[in-house]
Amino acid sequence: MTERTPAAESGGGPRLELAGVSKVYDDGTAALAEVTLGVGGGELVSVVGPSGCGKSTLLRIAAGLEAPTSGTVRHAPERIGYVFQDPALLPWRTVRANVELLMELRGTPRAERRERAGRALELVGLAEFARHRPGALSGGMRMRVSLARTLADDPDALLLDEPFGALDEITRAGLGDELAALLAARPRPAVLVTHSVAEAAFLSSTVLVMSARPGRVVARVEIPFPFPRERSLRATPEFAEVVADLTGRLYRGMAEVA
Amino acid sequence: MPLRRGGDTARHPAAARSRVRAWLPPLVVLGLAVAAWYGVSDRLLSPERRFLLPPPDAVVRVGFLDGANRAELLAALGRTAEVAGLGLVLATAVGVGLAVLMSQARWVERSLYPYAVVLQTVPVLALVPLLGFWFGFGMASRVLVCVLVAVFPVIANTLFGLRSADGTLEEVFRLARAGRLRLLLKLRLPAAVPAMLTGLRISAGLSVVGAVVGDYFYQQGQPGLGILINVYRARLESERMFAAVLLASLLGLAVFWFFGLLAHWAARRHGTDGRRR
Repeated sequence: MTERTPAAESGGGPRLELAGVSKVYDDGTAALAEVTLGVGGGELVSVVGPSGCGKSTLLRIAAGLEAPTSGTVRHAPERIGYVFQDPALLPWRTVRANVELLMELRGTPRAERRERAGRALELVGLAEFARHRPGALSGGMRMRVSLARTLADDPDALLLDEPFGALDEITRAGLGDELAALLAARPRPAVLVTHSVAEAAFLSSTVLVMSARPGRVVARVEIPFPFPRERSLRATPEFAEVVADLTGRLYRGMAEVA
Repeated sequence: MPLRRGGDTARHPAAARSRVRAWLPPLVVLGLAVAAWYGVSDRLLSPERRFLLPPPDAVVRVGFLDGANRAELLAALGRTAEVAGLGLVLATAVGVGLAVLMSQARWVERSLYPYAVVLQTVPVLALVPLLGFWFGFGMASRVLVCVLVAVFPVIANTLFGLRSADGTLEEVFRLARAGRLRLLLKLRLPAAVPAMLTGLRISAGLSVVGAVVGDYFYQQGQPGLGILINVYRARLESERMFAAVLLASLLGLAVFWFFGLLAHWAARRHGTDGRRR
Protein backbone atom coordinates (compact mmCIF):
# COMPACT_ATOMS: atom_id res chain seq x y z
CA MET A 1 0.00 0.00 0.00
CA THR A 2 1.00 3.55 -0.59
CA GLU A 3 2.07 5.59 2.36
CA ARG A 4 -0.52 8.25 3.09
CA THR A 5 0.01 10.87 5.72
CA PRO A 6 -2.86 13.09 6.76
CA ALA A 7 -2.76 16.47 5.14
CA ALA A 8 -2.89 18.20 8.52
CA GLU A 9 0.67 17.17 9.32
CA SER A 10 2.14 19.00 6.37
CA GLY A 11 1.11 22.37 7.79
CA GLY A 12 -0.11 25.35 5.79
CA GLY A 13 -3.32 23.76 4.44
CA PRO A 14 -3.73 20.66 2.38
CA ARG A 15 -0.98 19.64 -0.01
CA LEU A 16 -0.72 16.97 -2.59
CA GLU A 17 2.66 15.39 -3.18
CA LEU A 18 3.89 12.55 -5.33
CA ALA A 19 7.54 11.54 -5.14
CA GLY A 20 9.30 9.56 -7.87
CA VAL A 21 6.16 7.75 -8.91
CA SER A 22 6.46 5.10 -11.62
CA LYS A 23 3.88 2.74 -12.97
CA VAL A 24 4.49 -0.43 -14.94
CA TYR A 25 1.42 -2.49 -15.74
CA ASP A 26 1.34 -6.27 -15.45
CA ASP A 27 1.61 -6.64 -19.21
CA GLY A 28 4.93 -4.76 -19.12
CA THR A 29 3.59 -1.42 -20.36
CA ALA A 30 5.46 1.39 -18.67
CA ALA A 31 2.95 4.18 -18.17
CA LEU A 32 4.83 6.58 -15.91
CA ALA A 33 8.50 7.06 -15.07
CA GLU A 34 9.68 8.87 -11.97
CA VAL A 35 7.11 11.62 -11.78
CA THR A 36 7.43 14.03 -8.89
CA LEU A 37 4.68 16.51 -8.24
CA GLY A 38 3.93 18.92 -5.43
CA VAL A 39 0.81 21.03 -5.34
CA GLY A 40 0.02 23.44 -2.53
CA GLY A 41 -3.33 24.75 -1.40
CA GLY A 42 -4.86 27.13 -3.93
CA GLU A 43 -2.42 26.07 -6.60
CA LEU A 44 -3.60 24.65 -9.88
CA VAL A 45 -1.09 22.51 -11.72
CA SER A 46 -1.93 21.44 -15.25
CA VAL A 47 -0.51 18.40 -16.93
CA VAL A 48 -0.24 18.41 -20.72
CA GLY A 49 1.23 15.71 -22.90
CA PRO A 50 0.56 13.49 -25.88
CA SER A 51 -2.31 11.06 -25.51
CA GLY A 52 -1.35 7.82 -23.83
CA CYS A 53 1.45 9.43 -21.86
CA GLY A 54 0.06 8.38 -18.51
CA LYS A 55 -1.60 11.66 -17.50
CA SER A 56 -4.71 9.86 -16.31
CA THR A 57 -2.61 7.22 -14.57
CA LEU A 58 -0.89 10.01 -12.67
CA LEU A 59 -4.25 11.32 -11.40
CA ARG A 60 -5.48 7.84 -10.56
CA ILE A 61 -2.39 7.21 -8.46
CA ALA A 62 -2.77 10.56 -6.72
CA ALA A 63 -6.38 9.66 -5.89
CA GLY A 64 -5.43 6.22 -4.58
CA LEU A 65 -7.40 4.44 -7.30
CA GLU A 66 -4.20 2.74 -8.41
CA ALA A 67 -1.03 1.91 -6.54
CA PRO A 68 2.27 3.08 -8.01
CA THR A 69 4.84 0.42 -8.94
CA SER A 70 7.45 2.51 -7.17
CA GLY A 71 7.56 5.90 -5.52
CA THR A 72 5.17 7.27 -2.94
CA VAL A 73 2.08 9.40 -2.60
CA ARG A 74 2.80 11.76 0.22
CA HIS A 75 0.28 14.08 1.72
CA ALA A 76 -2.79 13.02 -0.17
CA PRO A 77 -5.80 14.81 1.31
CA GLU A 78 -8.52 12.60 2.74
CA ARG A 79 -11.38 13.95 0.71
CA ILE A 80 -10.48 13.98 -2.95
CA GLY A 81 -12.74 15.39 -5.64
CA TYR A 82 -12.18 13.53 -8.87
CA VAL A 83 -13.81 14.54 -12.13
CA PHE A 84 -13.55 11.72 -14.66
CA GLN A 85 -13.37 12.09 -18.42
CA ASP A 86 -16.80 10.62 -18.66
CA PRO A 87 -19.56 12.13 -16.53
CA ALA A 88 -20.28 8.85 -14.66
CA LEU A 89 -23.81 9.75 -13.57
CA LEU A 90 -26.49 7.39 -12.28
CA PRO A 91 -29.04 7.32 -15.12
CA TRP A 92 -31.96 6.50 -12.80
CA ARG A 93 -31.39 9.53 -10.58
CA THR A 94 -32.42 13.07 -11.32
CA VAL A 95 -29.72 15.66 -11.86
CA ARG A 96 -30.21 16.96 -8.32
CA ALA A 97 -30.01 13.48 -6.79
CA ASN A 98 -26.84 12.86 -8.77
CA VAL A 99 -25.28 16.03 -7.45
CA GLU A 100 -26.22 14.95 -3.91
CA LEU A 101 -24.67 11.49 -4.33
CA LEU A 102 -21.23 12.05 -2.82
CA MET A 103 -22.64 13.99 0.14
CA GLU A 104 -25.21 11.24 0.62
CA LEU A 105 -22.45 8.61 0.69
CA ARG A 106 -20.55 10.63 3.25
CA GLY A 107 -23.60 11.06 5.44
CA THR A 108 -24.27 14.77 5.03
CA PRO A 109 -27.73 15.67 6.44
CA ARG A 110 -30.48 16.01 3.87
CA ALA A 111 -31.19 19.71 4.26
CA GLU A 112 -27.55 20.61 3.86
CA ARG A 113 -27.28 18.31 0.85
CA ARG A 114 -30.21 20.02 -0.79
CA GLU A 115 -28.78 23.43 -0.23
CA ARG A 116 -25.26 22.63 -1.43
CA ALA A 117 -26.53 20.74 -4.48
CA GLY A 118 -28.69 23.70 -5.38
CA ARG A 119 -25.76 26.07 -5.16
CA ALA A 120 -23.49 23.81 -7.21
CA LEU A 121 -26.13 23.47 -9.92
CA GLU A 122 -26.54 27.21 -9.95
CA LEU A 123 -22.81 27.55 -10.40
CA VAL A 124 -22.67 25.32 -13.47
CA GLY A 125 -25.81 26.92 -14.85
CA LEU A 126 -28.10 23.89 -14.60
CA ALA A 127 -30.45 24.91 -11.79
CA GLU A 128 -33.51 24.61 -14.01
CA PHE A 129 -32.56 21.05 -15.01
CA ALA A 130 -32.50 19.75 -11.42
CA ARG A 131 -35.45 17.45 -12.00
CA HIS A 132 -34.28 16.04 -15.33
CA ARG A 133 -32.61 12.70 -15.80
CA PRO A 134 -29.09 12.69 -17.23
CA GLY A 135 -30.49 10.88 -20.29
CA ALA A 136 -32.39 14.00 -21.29
CA LEU A 137 -29.28 16.20 -21.21
CA SER A 138 -26.58 16.85 -23.78
CA GLY A 139 -23.05 15.53 -23.30
CA GLY A 140 -21.75 18.91 -22.20
CA MET A 141 -24.55 19.36 -19.69
CA ARG A 142 -23.89 15.94 -18.22
CA MET A 143 -20.26 16.87 -17.76
CA ARG A 144 -21.35 19.99 -15.90
CA VAL A 145 -23.54 17.86 -13.64
CA SER A 146 -20.52 15.71 -12.92
CA LEU A 147 -18.52 18.82 -12.05
CA ALA A 148 -21.35 20.09 -9.84
CA ARG A 149 -21.38 16.76 -8.00
CA THR A 150 -17.69 17.14 -7.16
CA LEU A 151 -17.98 20.81 -6.21
CA ALA A 152 -20.99 20.23 -3.96
CA ASP A 153 -18.95 17.65 -2.06
CA ASP A 154 -16.46 20.43 -1.21
CA PRO A 155 -13.33 18.24 -1.48
CA ASP A 156 -9.90 18.99 0.00
CA ALA A 157 -8.21 18.50 -3.35
CA LEU A 158 -9.42 18.51 -6.93
CA LEU A 159 -8.25 16.12 -9.60
CA LEU A 160 -9.70 16.83 -13.01
CA ASP A 161 -9.15 14.45 -15.89
CA GLU A 162 -9.91 16.39 -19.07
CA PRO A 163 -13.28 17.44 -17.73
CA PHE A 164 -13.78 20.13 -20.35
CA GLY A 165 -12.79 18.01 -23.32
CA ALA A 166 -16.30 17.52 -24.62
CA LEU A 167 -17.53 21.07 -24.01
CA ASP A 168 -17.89 23.97 -26.39
CA GLU A 169 -15.49 26.88 -26.14
CA ILE A 170 -17.82 29.26 -24.27
CA THR A 171 -18.93 26.77 -21.62
CA ARG A 172 -15.34 25.73 -21.28
CA ALA A 173 -14.13 29.23 -20.56
CA GLY A 174 -17.02 29.81 -18.14
CA LEU A 175 -16.25 26.69 -16.15
CA GLY A 176 -12.58 27.58 -16.15
CA ASP A 177 -13.44 30.89 -14.50
CA GLU A 178 -15.59 29.11 -11.94
CA LEU A 179 -12.77 26.74 -11.18
CA ALA A 180 -10.37 29.62 -10.61
CA ALA A 181 -12.88 31.38 -8.35
CA LEU A 182 -13.42 28.20 -6.33
CA LEU A 183 -9.74 27.73 -5.75
CA ALA A 184 -9.40 31.33 -4.69
CA ALA A 185 -12.37 31.06 -2.31
CA ARG A 186 -10.99 28.03 -0.53
CA PRO A 187 -7.33 27.22 -1.15
CA ARG A 188 -6.83 23.58 -2.02
CA PRO A 189 -4.52 21.78 -4.39
CA ALA A 190 -5.84 21.06 -7.86
CA VAL A 191 -4.43 19.09 -10.75
CA LEU A 192 -5.92 19.44 -14.22
CA VAL A 193 -5.15 17.07 -17.05
CA THR A 194 -5.90 18.65 -20.39
CA HIS A 195 -4.80 18.60 -23.98
CA SER A 196 -5.44 22.25 -24.49
CA VAL A 197 -2.16 24.08 -23.93
CA ALA A 198 -3.92 27.46 -23.90
CA GLU A 199 -6.36 26.28 -21.25
CA ALA A 200 -3.49 24.95 -19.16
CA ALA A 201 -1.61 28.22 -19.45
CA PHE A 202 -4.64 30.34 -18.61
CA LEU A 203 -5.83 28.42 -15.56
CA SER A 204 -2.66 27.17 -13.91
CA SER A 205 0.10 28.45 -11.76
CA THR A 206 2.38 25.71 -13.09
CA VAL A 207 2.21 23.55 -16.21
CA LEU A 208 3.91 20.16 -16.40
CA VAL A 209 4.77 18.99 -19.88
CA MET A 210 5.01 15.24 -20.20
CA SER A 211 6.74 13.08 -22.78
CA ALA A 212 5.20 10.19 -24.66
CA ARG A 213 5.01 6.83 -22.89
CA PRO A 214 6.41 6.15 -20.42
CA GLY A 215 5.36 9.59 -19.23
CA ARG A 216 8.12 11.67 -17.73
CA VAL A 217 8.01 15.32 -16.82
CA VAL A 218 10.09 17.02 -19.51
CA ALA A 219 9.35 20.59 -18.48
CA ARG A 220 7.93 22.39 -15.47
CA VAL A 221 6.84 25.85 -16.49
CA GLU A 222 5.74 28.53 -14.03
CA ILE A 223 3.08 30.71 -15.58
CA PRO A 224 4.04 34.29 -14.66
CA PHE A 225 0.64 36.01 -14.77
CA PRO A 226 -0.94 36.96 -11.43
CA PHE A 227 -4.37 35.80 -10.31
CA PRO A 228 -7.19 36.59 -10.79
CA ARG A 229 -6.68 36.54 -14.54
CA GLU A 230 -8.95 38.39 -16.90
CA ARG A 231 -10.17 36.70 -20.03
CA SER A 232 -8.53 39.47 -22.04
CA LEU A 233 -5.19 38.02 -21.00
CA ARG A 234 -5.65 35.34 -23.61
CA ALA A 235 -5.39 37.96 -26.35
CA THR A 236 -2.07 39.46 -25.20
CA PRO A 237 1.25 38.78 -26.96
CA GLU A 238 2.79 37.74 -23.63
CA PHE A 239 0.22 35.00 -23.24
CA ALA A 240 0.73 33.87 -26.83
CA GLU A 241 4.44 33.64 -26.13
CA VAL A 242 3.89 31.40 -23.10
CA VAL A 243 1.57 29.17 -25.12
CA ALA A 244 4.07 28.97 -27.97
CA ASP A 245 6.83 28.07 -25.53
CA LEU A 246 4.70 25.30 -23.98
CA THR A 247 3.69 23.96 -27.38
CA GLY A 248 7.35 23.87 -28.42
CA ARG A 249 8.27 21.90 -25.32
CA LEU A 250 5.39 19.54 -25.89
CA TYR A 251 6.59 18.75 -29.42
CA ARG A 252 10.17 18.39 -28.30
CA GLY A 253 9.03 15.99 -25.59
CA MET A 254 7.25 13.89 -28.19
CA ALA A 255 10.25 13.96 -30.56
CA GLU A 256 12.72 12.92 -27.87
CA VAL A 257 11.19 9.51 -27.64
CA ALA A 258 10.26 8.95 -31.28
CA MET B 1 -38.47 4.40 -37.21
CA PRO B 2 -41.25 3.17 -34.93
CA LEU B 3 -44.10 5.59 -34.63
CA ARG B 4 -45.35 6.94 -31.34
CA ARG B 5 -48.21 4.92 -29.96
CA GLY B 6 -51.48 6.32 -28.79
CA GLY B 7 -51.68 9.11 -31.36
CA ASP B 8 -55.00 9.91 -33.00
CA THR B 9 -55.06 7.31 -35.75
CA ALA B 10 -57.82 9.01 -37.72
CA ARG B 11 -55.71 12.12 -38.14
CA HIS B 12 -52.48 10.23 -38.71
CA PRO B 13 -52.94 7.90 -41.64
CA ALA B 14 -49.26 6.95 -41.48
CA ALA B 15 -49.66 5.74 -37.90
CA ALA B 16 -52.81 3.85 -38.83
CA ARG B 17 -51.02 2.22 -41.72
CA SER B 18 -48.12 1.16 -39.58
CA ARG B 19 -50.50 -0.27 -36.99
CA VAL B 20 -52.28 -2.24 -39.66
CA ARG B 21 -48.91 -3.44 -40.87
CA ALA B 22 -48.06 -4.60 -37.34
CA TRP B 23 -51.34 -6.36 -36.60
CA LEU B 24 -52.46 -7.68 -39.96
CA PRO B 25 -49.87 -10.42 -40.60
CA PRO B 26 -50.38 -12.26 -37.28
CA LEU B 27 -54.16 -11.94 -37.69
CA VAL B 28 -53.94 -13.45 -41.16
CA VAL B 29 -51.89 -16.33 -39.75
CA LEU B 30 -54.48 -16.80 -36.99
CA GLY B 31 -57.26 -16.90 -39.59
CA LEU B 32 -55.36 -19.44 -41.64
CA ALA B 33 -54.71 -21.58 -38.57
CA VAL B 34 -58.40 -21.56 -37.57
CA ALA B 35 -59.37 -22.40 -41.16
CA ALA B 36 -56.91 -25.28 -41.22
CA TRP B 37 -58.27 -26.43 -37.85
CA TYR B 38 -61.84 -26.48 -39.27
CA GLY B 39 -60.54 -28.24 -42.38
CA VAL B 40 -58.98 -31.02 -40.35
CA SER B 41 -61.96 -31.42 -37.96
CA ASP B 42 -64.75 -31.28 -40.52
CA ARG B 43 -63.21 -32.71 -43.66
CA LEU B 44 -60.33 -34.94 -42.67
CA LEU B 45 -61.69 -36.62 -39.54
CA SER B 46 -64.68 -38.95 -39.67
CA PRO B 47 -67.34 -38.09 -37.00
CA GLU B 48 -66.25 -40.96 -34.72
CA ARG B 49 -62.65 -39.72 -34.75
CA ARG B 50 -63.52 -36.05 -34.42
CA PHE B 51 -62.62 -36.13 -30.71
CA LEU B 52 -58.96 -35.97 -31.81
CA LEU B 53 -59.49 -32.39 -32.90
CA PRO B 54 -62.91 -30.95 -32.12
CA PRO B 55 -63.76 -27.86 -34.21
CA PRO B 56 -63.12 -24.47 -32.55
CA ASP B 57 -66.79 -23.58 -32.12
CA ALA B 58 -67.37 -26.86 -30.24
CA VAL B 59 -64.48 -26.06 -27.93
CA VAL B 60 -65.91 -22.63 -27.19
CA ARG B 61 -69.47 -23.92 -26.81
CA VAL B 62 -68.67 -26.82 -24.50
CA GLY B 63 -65.72 -25.36 -22.67
CA PHE B 64 -66.67 -21.73 -22.15
CA LEU B 65 -70.38 -21.24 -22.83
CA ASP B 66 -71.52 -24.05 -20.56
CA GLY B 67 -71.80 -22.53 -17.08
CA ALA B 68 -70.65 -25.50 -15.00
CA ASN B 69 -67.72 -26.29 -17.30
CA ARG B 70 -66.68 -22.66 -17.34
CA ALA B 71 -66.76 -22.44 -13.55
CA GLU B 72 -64.65 -25.57 -13.22
CA LEU B 73 -62.09 -24.33 -15.76
CA LEU B 74 -61.86 -20.85 -14.28
CA ALA B 75 -61.40 -22.22 -10.77
CA ALA B 76 -58.60 -24.43 -12.07
CA LEU B 77 -57.08 -21.47 -13.91
CA GLY B 78 -57.13 -19.51 -10.67
CA ARG B 79 -55.43 -22.34 -8.82
CA THR B 80 -52.75 -22.74 -11.48
CA ALA B 81 -52.12 -18.99 -11.57
CA GLU B 82 -51.83 -18.99 -7.79
CA VAL B 83 -49.26 -21.80 -7.83
CA ALA B 84 -47.30 -20.15 -10.64
CA GLY B 85 -47.42 -16.79 -8.88
CA LEU B 86 -46.30 -18.18 -5.54
CA GLY B 87 -43.54 -20.14 -7.27
CA LEU B 88 -42.38 -17.04 -9.09
CA VAL B 89 -42.30 -14.94 -5.92
CA LEU B 90 -40.23 -17.58 -4.13
CA ALA B 91 -37.94 -18.09 -7.15
CA THR B 92 -37.39 -14.33 -7.31
CA ALA B 93 -36.59 -14.05 -3.61
CA VAL B 94 -34.22 -17.03 -3.67
CA GLY B 95 -32.70 -16.10 -7.04
CA VAL B 96 -32.04 -12.44 -6.20
CA GLY B 97 -30.70 -13.45 -2.79
CA LEU B 98 -28.28 -15.96 -4.27
CA ALA B 99 -27.19 -13.56 -7.01
CA VAL B 100 -26.46 -10.86 -4.42
CA LEU B 101 -24.41 -13.34 -2.39
CA MET B 102 -22.49 -14.42 -5.47
CA SER B 103 -21.84 -10.83 -6.46
CA GLN B 104 -20.17 -10.15 -3.12
CA ALA B 105 -17.25 -12.52 -3.54
CA ARG B 106 -15.84 -14.51 -6.41
CA TRP B 107 -15.38 -17.57 -4.24
CA VAL B 108 -19.07 -17.64 -3.41
CA GLU B 109 -19.91 -17.45 -7.09
CA ARG B 110 -17.38 -20.14 -7.94
CA SER B 111 -18.82 -22.44 -5.28
CA LEU B 112 -22.51 -21.91 -6.03
CA TYR B 113 -22.93 -21.09 -9.69
CA PRO B 114 -22.12 -24.58 -11.02
CA TYR B 115 -24.98 -25.97 -8.95
CA ALA B 116 -27.35 -23.35 -10.28
CA VAL B 117 -26.39 -24.54 -13.75
CA VAL B 118 -26.91 -28.16 -12.70
CA LEU B 119 -30.33 -27.20 -11.42
CA GLN B 120 -31.08 -25.78 -14.83
CA THR B 121 -29.91 -28.84 -16.75
CA VAL B 122 -31.39 -31.62 -14.58
CA PRO B 123 -34.74 -32.51 -16.16
CA VAL B 124 -37.26 -31.46 -13.57
CA LEU B 125 -39.59 -34.24 -14.62
CA ALA B 126 -36.98 -36.68 -13.32
CA LEU B 127 -37.20 -35.01 -9.91
CA VAL B 128 -40.98 -35.01 -9.80
CA PRO B 129 -41.42 -38.41 -8.08
CA LEU B 130 -38.70 -37.59 -5.55
CA LEU B 131 -40.25 -34.26 -4.66
CA GLY B 132 -43.54 -36.13 -4.23
CA PHE B 133 -41.99 -38.48 -1.71
CA TRP B 134 -40.38 -35.68 0.20
CA PHE B 135 -42.98 -32.98 0.16
CA GLY B 136 -46.21 -34.81 -0.55
CA PHE B 137 -48.35 -34.83 -3.67
CA GLY B 138 -50.08 -31.53 -3.07
CA MET B 139 -49.56 -27.77 -3.07
CA ALA B 140 -46.04 -27.74 -1.61
CA SER B 141 -44.60 -29.89 -4.35
CA ARG B 142 -46.41 -28.00 -7.09
CA VAL B 143 -44.95 -24.72 -5.90
CA LEU B 144 -41.53 -26.29 -5.52
CA VAL B 145 -41.54 -27.47 -9.14
CA CYS B 146 -42.24 -23.88 -10.20
CA VAL B 147 -39.37 -22.60 -8.08
CA LEU B 148 -36.99 -25.19 -9.51
CA VAL B 149 -37.77 -24.39 -13.13
CA ALA B 150 -37.97 -20.63 -12.62
CA VAL B 151 -35.04 -19.82 -10.37
CA PHE B 152 -32.13 -20.04 -12.78
CA PRO B 153 -33.02 -17.17 -15.13
CA VAL B 154 -33.47 -14.93 -12.08
CA ILE B 155 -30.04 -15.86 -10.73
CA ALA B 156 -28.23 -15.56 -14.04
CA ASN B 157 -29.83 -12.28 -15.10
CA THR B 158 -29.60 -10.62 -11.69
CA LEU B 159 -25.95 -11.58 -11.39
CA PHE B 160 -25.29 -10.17 -14.84
CA GLY B 161 -27.16 -7.00 -13.90
CA LEU B 162 -25.29 -6.57 -10.62
CA ARG B 163 -22.03 -6.72 -12.54
CA SER B 164 -23.22 -4.37 -15.26
CA ALA B 165 -22.65 -1.19 -13.24
CA ASP B 166 -20.20 1.11 -14.95
CA GLY B 167 -16.60 0.79 -13.71
CA THR B 168 -16.11 4.54 -13.41
CA LEU B 169 -19.23 4.80 -11.28
CA GLU B 170 -17.81 2.19 -8.96
CA GLU B 171 -14.72 4.35 -8.60
CA VAL B 172 -16.88 7.35 -7.79
CA PHE B 173 -18.30 5.32 -4.90
CA ARG B 174 -14.86 4.11 -3.85
CA LEU B 175 -13.49 7.64 -3.73
CA ALA B 176 -16.35 8.61 -1.43
CA ARG B 177 -15.35 5.68 0.81
CA ALA B 178 -18.70 3.96 0.30
CA GLY B 179 -18.92 0.53 1.91
CA ARG B 180 -20.20 -2.69 0.36
CA LEU B 181 -23.77 -2.19 1.47
CA ARG B 182 -23.98 1.33 0.08
CA LEU B 183 -22.42 0.17 -3.18
CA LEU B 184 -24.95 -2.62 -3.41
CA LEU B 185 -28.01 -0.57 -2.50
CA LYS B 186 -27.22 2.62 -4.35
CA LEU B 187 -25.33 1.38 -7.39
CA ARG B 188 -25.37 -2.36 -8.09
CA LEU B 189 -29.01 -3.20 -7.35
CA PRO B 190 -30.53 -0.22 -9.16
CA ALA B 191 -28.24 -0.92 -12.10
CA ALA B 192 -29.44 -4.52 -12.11
CA VAL B 193 -33.14 -3.72 -12.37
CA PRO B 194 -33.51 -3.98 -16.17
CA ALA B 195 -31.62 -7.29 -16.36
CA MET B 196 -33.57 -8.56 -13.37
CA LEU B 197 -36.84 -7.86 -15.15
CA THR B 198 -35.62 -9.66 -18.25
CA GLY B 199 -34.93 -12.68 -16.06
CA LEU B 200 -38.28 -12.34 -14.36
CA ARG B 201 -40.06 -12.35 -17.69
CA ILE B 202 -38.43 -15.63 -18.68
CA SER B 203 -38.99 -17.12 -15.24
CA ALA B 204 -42.66 -16.13 -15.18
CA GLY B 205 -43.29 -18.11 -18.36
CA LEU B 206 -41.38 -21.07 -16.98
CA SER B 207 -43.29 -20.84 -13.73
CA VAL B 208 -46.60 -21.24 -15.58
CA VAL B 209 -45.19 -24.32 -17.33
CA GLY B 210 -44.00 -25.59 -13.94
CA ALA B 211 -47.45 -25.06 -12.39
CA VAL B 212 -49.21 -27.01 -15.15
CA VAL B 213 -46.63 -29.81 -15.03
CA GLY B 214 -46.77 -29.77 -11.23
CA ASP B 215 -50.49 -30.30 -10.93
CA TYR B 216 -50.43 -32.83 -13.73
CA PHE B 217 -48.36 -35.00 -11.40
CA TYR B 218 -49.39 -33.94 -7.92
CA GLN B 219 -53.09 -34.53 -7.91
CA GLN B 220 -53.95 -34.04 -4.25
CA GLY B 221 -55.85 -30.93 -3.29
CA GLN B 222 -57.94 -28.67 -5.49
CA PRO B 223 -57.36 -29.25 -9.20
CA GLY B 224 -55.38 -26.91 -11.40
CA LEU B 225 -55.42 -26.87 -15.20
CA GLY B 226 -52.91 -29.71 -15.42
CA ILE B 227 -55.15 -32.06 -13.48
CA LEU B 228 -58.18 -31.11 -15.54
CA ILE B 229 -56.28 -31.73 -18.78
CA ASN B 230 -55.35 -35.16 -17.49
CA VAL B 231 -58.88 -35.97 -16.33
CA TYR B 232 -60.54 -34.79 -19.57
CA ARG B 233 -57.97 -36.76 -21.56
CA ALA B 234 -58.85 -39.92 -19.63
CA ARG B 235 -62.57 -39.34 -20.25
CA LEU B 236 -62.02 -38.46 -23.93
CA GLU B 237 -63.76 -35.12 -23.28
CA SER B 238 -61.65 -33.42 -25.87
CA GLU B 239 -63.64 -30.16 -26.16
CA ARG B 240 -63.06 -29.48 -22.49
CA MET B 241 -59.46 -30.60 -22.73
CA PHE B 242 -58.83 -28.18 -25.57
CA ALA B 243 -60.47 -25.42 -23.57
CA ALA B 244 -58.13 -26.15 -20.65
CA VAL B 245 -55.08 -26.17 -22.93
CA LEU B 246 -56.22 -22.86 -24.42
CA LEU B 247 -56.57 -21.30 -20.96
CA ALA B 248 -53.10 -22.54 -19.93
CA SER B 249 -51.64 -20.97 -23.09
CA LEU B 250 -53.49 -17.71 -22.49
CA LEU B 251 -52.17 -17.60 -18.92
CA GLY B 252 -48.61 -17.98 -20.23
CA LEU B 253 -49.21 -15.28 -22.82
CA ALA B 254 -50.76 -12.87 -20.30
CA VAL B 255 -47.82 -13.34 -17.96
CA PHE B 256 -45.35 -12.75 -20.80
CA TRP B 257 -47.14 -9.57 -21.84
CA PHE B 258 -47.41 -8.29 -18.30
CA PHE B 259 -43.71 -8.63 -17.62
CA GLY B 260 -42.90 -7.17 -21.02
CA LEU B 261 -44.90 -4.06 -20.13
CA LEU B 262 -43.33 -3.95 -16.68
CA ALA B 263 -39.83 -4.09 -18.18
CA HIS B 264 -40.72 -1.31 -20.61
CA TRP B 265 -42.13 0.87 -17.85
CA ALA B 266 -39.14 0.22 -15.60
CA ALA B 267 -36.71 1.08 -18.38
CA ARG B 268 -38.39 4.48 -18.71
CA ARG B 269 -38.29 5.13 -15.00
CA HIS B 270 -34.75 3.87 -14.91
CA GLY B 271 -33.62 6.52 -17.35
CA THR B 272 -32.02 3.98 -19.66
CA ASP B 273 -34.76 4.41 -22.22
CA GLY B 274 -34.56 8.16 -22.68
CA ARG B 275 -30.98 8.20 -23.84
CA ARG B 276 -31.57 9.36 -27.36
CA ARG B 277 -28.71 11.26 -28.89
